[in-house]
Amino acid sequence: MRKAIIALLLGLAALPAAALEVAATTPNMAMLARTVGGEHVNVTVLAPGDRDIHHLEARPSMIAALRRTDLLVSVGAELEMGWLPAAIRGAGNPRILPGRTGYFEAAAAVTLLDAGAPADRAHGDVHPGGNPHIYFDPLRMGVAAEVLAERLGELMPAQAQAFRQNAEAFTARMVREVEAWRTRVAGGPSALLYHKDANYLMERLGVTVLGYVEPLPGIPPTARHLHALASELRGRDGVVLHMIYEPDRGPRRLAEELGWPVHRMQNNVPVNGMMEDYVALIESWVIRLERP
Amino acid sequence: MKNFLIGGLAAVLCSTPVFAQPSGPQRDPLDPTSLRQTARPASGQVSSGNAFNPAISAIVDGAWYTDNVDGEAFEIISEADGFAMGHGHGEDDGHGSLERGFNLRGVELAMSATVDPYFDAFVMIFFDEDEVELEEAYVTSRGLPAGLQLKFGKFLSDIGYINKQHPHSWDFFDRPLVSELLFGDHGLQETGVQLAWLAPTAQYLRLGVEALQGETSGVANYLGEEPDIEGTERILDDKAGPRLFTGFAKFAPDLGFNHALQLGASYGYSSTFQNTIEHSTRYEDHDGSARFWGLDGVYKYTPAGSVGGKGAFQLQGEYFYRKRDIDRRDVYFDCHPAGIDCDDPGVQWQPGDVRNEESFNEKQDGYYLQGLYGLAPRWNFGARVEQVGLTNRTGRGNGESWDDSRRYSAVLSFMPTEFSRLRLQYSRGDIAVDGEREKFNQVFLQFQMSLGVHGAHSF
Repeated sequence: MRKAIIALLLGLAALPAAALEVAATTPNMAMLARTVGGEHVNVTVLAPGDRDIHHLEARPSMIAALRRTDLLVSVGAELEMGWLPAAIRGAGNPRILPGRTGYFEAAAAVTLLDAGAPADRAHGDVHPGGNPHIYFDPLRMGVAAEVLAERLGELMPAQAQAFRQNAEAFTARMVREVEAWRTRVAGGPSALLYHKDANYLMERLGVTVLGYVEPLPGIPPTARHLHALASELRGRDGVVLHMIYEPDRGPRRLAEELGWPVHRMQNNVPVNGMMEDYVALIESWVIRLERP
Repeated sequence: MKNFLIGGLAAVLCSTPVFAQPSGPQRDPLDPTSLRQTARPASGQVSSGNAFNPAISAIVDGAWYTDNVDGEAFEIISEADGFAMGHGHGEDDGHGSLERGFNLRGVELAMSATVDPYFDAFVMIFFDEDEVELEEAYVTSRGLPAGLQLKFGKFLSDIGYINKQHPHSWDFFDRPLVSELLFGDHGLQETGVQLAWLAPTAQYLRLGVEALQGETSGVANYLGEEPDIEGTERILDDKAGPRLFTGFAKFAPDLGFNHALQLGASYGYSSTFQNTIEHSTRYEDHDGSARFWGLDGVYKYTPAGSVGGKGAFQLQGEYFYRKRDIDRRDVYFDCHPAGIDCDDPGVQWQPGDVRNEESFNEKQDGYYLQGLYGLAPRWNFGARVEQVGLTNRTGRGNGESWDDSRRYSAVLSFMPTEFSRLRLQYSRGDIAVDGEREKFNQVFLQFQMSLGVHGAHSF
């Protein structure tokens, strides 16, 4: 009996330090946290990738998750501003307030496209700080991974080295993949996107963006805009790409008029996604942009 | 093997045939280092917020309105049996009252900012064409440990579900009857302090208590001391605040990403409920206490891949019960019967005489239940059923039981963007007034525009 107790105590002592509780706003961010944090993090996803992250609400389950979180990993640049501030406010957890160690925005780690747009909603749902959809750029995700590793290292200094190595491995993998992807899509069709989000990926791959189905960010397509797009692009070669949660009527109509293919795309890995899922996600876009 | 796996995953993600054409300029070599943000913001946040200015937003709320009772529908509601009871209410300043035709209900001006490392603050001012009202002005703590949060200032109480919402967050044009008639035109909006605690559990559990000054007309009406008449004291006295105390609990099980359910219970006790009714020759003074309890629930369903809220469904309901314990004592301020000379031998009561000393209680309740469904992207349809006075007893005199009042509403909303909304609402009222059923139809065509930076709403 005494032996058993001693064994148990020794066993407890040998247990690794408790894992960090990480809450990620999207599956992509959760993927990043898992990739960098490995076994030292427990990751909860606040919102799955099958819905539009611009228009969520702060649900009680998010607040409950944030209450216990050591580190909040968000895309940032006001992408989640419709719900995340309310969830943080409700959580009563000072560790994850903006500016504290427990608050991480991937967008703050990288340079942003479209920064400095006028703060005028006549231009739609604009983000004057810059386009927040950086998860579409594998290389920016690499940079975000490295900055996230620094942050995780601050919270768990004993593992700082491991975090850095994980992040570097992720970046190296992305650099390698991007090189191969660029070769594959070279000479492929140009892209007509729905929202100004995957333009990060198009720039990375060297694919021209011909336009957007939305006349202005966040404003649904109008007949006039679709007509203008169709007449402007007639005779060119391209492919229409839209997210699964975006209405497909406008994209379909355009694709029909132009004789282009139209595809429903994902913008996130599965909720439990890992690095391989992220590579597969970008692959799913590359496949659509390859020369046949 | 790895590449094979990736190819397989990618193939699953793609399911339509691939076309492709040549084009696309070739740019930039691969250089991740240049992507690193060197001037990283100290807040760790990319924000369009401008320096030290608070986030400011204005919500413009207007409506075209008509009814089939010569514009009297709002008055009929305020006279509902059991709830009106000669309230010293007087002027009708409810945000809900409209004239037939075009109305600007008002403008809500909201400001929020972080005060310092310890506090966040929020201020909301309501303007209509005639007056300015401070709706809310409160501070919340940022740094309390253990999931505790402190709030103080003037704020909307956390009791129930809709009480905390501003009119622009409602799914219907008007406040539910149960909230308006049991509490008041602004719901339970008070100055005081709130302490709330969020449990460190996987399931959402939030508990809170509030100590409030106590001025809400329905449960904590306060008048303070009234002067003696001919040496006779009135029973109305000054009472120091806080006079109103509430407690609430909210529980939300984790039902996955598509479903959300929140259940709540609340309780309140008001140490003071004062009222006075001026008759022709005497004041009828009431002094007592009040208590209330309520249950609320909201369920929201958001289907995966929902476009613009299409197919989303929401069910929301609340029940409240209110009991007031009242001591009554009338004091004459003029000779009675009215109109005769005080020297007249026919005078029955002189100024300063006391009459009608009694104690009684009043019990009222009510509920609403509403559903909302996303018909199409950016369009939703809703229906609401309301009933107040299922229990409806007043105790004055010999005591009386009153009929209940009901209202049925249907609403169709269109949201061009998240910053604007058009709403068409039809309501059918069936209100008990002096034992008669007063029925009316109302039509509202409402527009709401949100300018500026408006903070995220809570659930």
